[in-house]
Amino acid sequence: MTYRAPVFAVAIACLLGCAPEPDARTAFLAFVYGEVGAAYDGLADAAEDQQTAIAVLCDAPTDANLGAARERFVGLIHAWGRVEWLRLGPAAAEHRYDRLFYWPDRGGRGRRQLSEVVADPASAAFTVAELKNKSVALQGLPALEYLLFAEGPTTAEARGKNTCRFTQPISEALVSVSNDVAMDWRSAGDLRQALSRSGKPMRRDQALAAVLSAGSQALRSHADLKIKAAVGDSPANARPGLAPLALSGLTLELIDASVQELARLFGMQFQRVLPESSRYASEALQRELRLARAQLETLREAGDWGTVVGDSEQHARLVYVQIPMTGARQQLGQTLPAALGLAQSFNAADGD
Amino acid sequence: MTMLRRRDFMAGGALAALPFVGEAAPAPIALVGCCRRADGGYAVALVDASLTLVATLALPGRGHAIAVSPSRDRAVVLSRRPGRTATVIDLDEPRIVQTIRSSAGRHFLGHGFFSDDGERFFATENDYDNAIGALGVYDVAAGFARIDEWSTGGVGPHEALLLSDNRTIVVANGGIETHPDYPREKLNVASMRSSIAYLSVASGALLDVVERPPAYPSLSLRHMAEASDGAVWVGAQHEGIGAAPLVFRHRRGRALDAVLTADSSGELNAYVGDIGFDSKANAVVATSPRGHCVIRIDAATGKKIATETLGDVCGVSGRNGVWMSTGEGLLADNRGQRRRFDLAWDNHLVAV
Repeated sequence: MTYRAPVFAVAIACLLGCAPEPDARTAFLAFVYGEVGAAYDGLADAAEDQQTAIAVLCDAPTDANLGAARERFVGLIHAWGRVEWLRLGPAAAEHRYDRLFYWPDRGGRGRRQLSEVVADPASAAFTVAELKNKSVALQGLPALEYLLFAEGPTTAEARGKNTCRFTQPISEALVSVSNDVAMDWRSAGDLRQALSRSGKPMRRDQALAAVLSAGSQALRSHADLKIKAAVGDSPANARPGLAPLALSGLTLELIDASVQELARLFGMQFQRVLPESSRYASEALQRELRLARAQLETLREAGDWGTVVGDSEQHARLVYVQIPMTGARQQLGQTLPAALGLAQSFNAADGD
Repeated sequence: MTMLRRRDFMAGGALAALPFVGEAAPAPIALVGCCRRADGGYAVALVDASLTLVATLALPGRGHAIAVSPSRDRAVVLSRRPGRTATVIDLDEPRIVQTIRSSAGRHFLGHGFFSDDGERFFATENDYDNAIGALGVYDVAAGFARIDEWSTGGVGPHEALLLSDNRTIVVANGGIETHPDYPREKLNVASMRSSIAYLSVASGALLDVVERPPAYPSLSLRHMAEASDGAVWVGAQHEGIGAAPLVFRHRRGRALDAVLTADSSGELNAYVGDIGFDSKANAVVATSPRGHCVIRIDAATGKKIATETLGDVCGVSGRNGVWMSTGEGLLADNRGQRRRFDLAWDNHLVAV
């Protein structure tokens, strides 16, 4: 469980210290590679913790064990929040990203399918191998969220009998997929190889552009898809269920973990990549992310997702928080790539 | 001032229609493409045969492809997905004469075409709540009234063409589900099934559906051109990891033929943005804005003839010679003519 971190520490130390003095871009890419690797390890560790807690719950379906399993789920969401921004490389292979976190699930296909199989005592349990070939809506964190948090039997015992056939293989698959991602990431050796789609290492500037673009896309997802689409103009026309993790109330936990990670990744190490004359752009990025985080923290203190969406004061805050997120997104997607002289393709930005 | 209409000029009535001797006749529009102007606004740009910019007409949002009427006096600019407007342009003036709104529960998907008699206009549309593709049928004489809707036999139809027999429509069902609740988010990459479908232009009857090769489930077939021998050439995007073939040829009753192998498609960087047919050279031209290149393929042998590097190239028109457009503002033909404009050309270009 803990063997991965030292490997990365050595790798980073070598990249920064053993090799000839790398320039700032190379050093930044090495930094991101190490940090993402550590974050994937964290995800795999959190998935193992979740699997253990679910095994305990299924052996002894008590309210305390259900509470512990739900607590582990919160930890798992924090771990996922650190890697959610990077939908590239080993996470994209074999639909792993969707198998870890299938969202948006428009129309609630996962919930519908899960509720059907759970309600039918004759439906067979999945094996992990079978799950790989089933709909991605039936696996991953949103599926597990449904099984752990959805309304249903009020006692853990009754819930456990119904759901363990599915919570156990889903949690095992989460361990398996997150370990695969972590292993493949590590075996790539560096970021340019890890992010490659073709097998050949990306050029350094391509990799740098891909990292900035991924950060920008993540912020678009947070502001436009997770928050804006769900909160609408007022509490009256809000549709909180459109956001991920609305059932467990952990939507803001996820967004905050992700924004925090982006702020860390694009911090001091990144600023060194920029020419002196453009460092203001990096400072502007950090300022926007700090503003967003401050609002997210206040929102989290005010209650869970359902509560804050329905409260007019907090709803206004949810509308406001989109502004710094969009500002940060523009820094990462436009201003900073331009400052770094990275080609910004108009026609291929997000495909059509 | 009396405006000389292009059709009058073409019909030989130019001199009679001139208000006074010495006034220059407006040059006919030769090329039309959507663009982003230097001020950041989206527009459609119209260029004459001397590559002079005649006009840029502001659009309500980012445009995508343009359909020109058989009489060559009208064009319809389709908004980029998930846009809800199509803009009708009088090419003679030139000016915007109408804005078509998508019907309830539908949005446009970027492409359309006219029937050979010009009486009907067809647009690819998304029936987003049911996640199925539609071809909207519009009565041109009735002010583009939407009079019918046909199934495209797949999800996420993108380009649709009327074949040269004037009886058969071919539609590229990209296979990617989207919904305006989550704009431009791909909702089903793990389960997508792209196809080419043939429909009767008289009845809308689905005549044939050919799916992408099973070895490449994440392939999205999107753009097409008909060669003089009746074969339909298809350009694809790959949503998966690893190499995939991206240019296909199809003849009714046969399987989809991958013209370039996956290994030889690497320079296209998983993305063909547009495809055209050069009748003079009997060659197919495919562009890749992500690969920053244009490839030419001998339509008879299926062998690649040449690759040209061109930054952010995407639009290609094979009518009246081969013309290409780039996000860097360049219009280029295959004989070495080049002109740069102070705008970014969008995905598609059409010769009038």
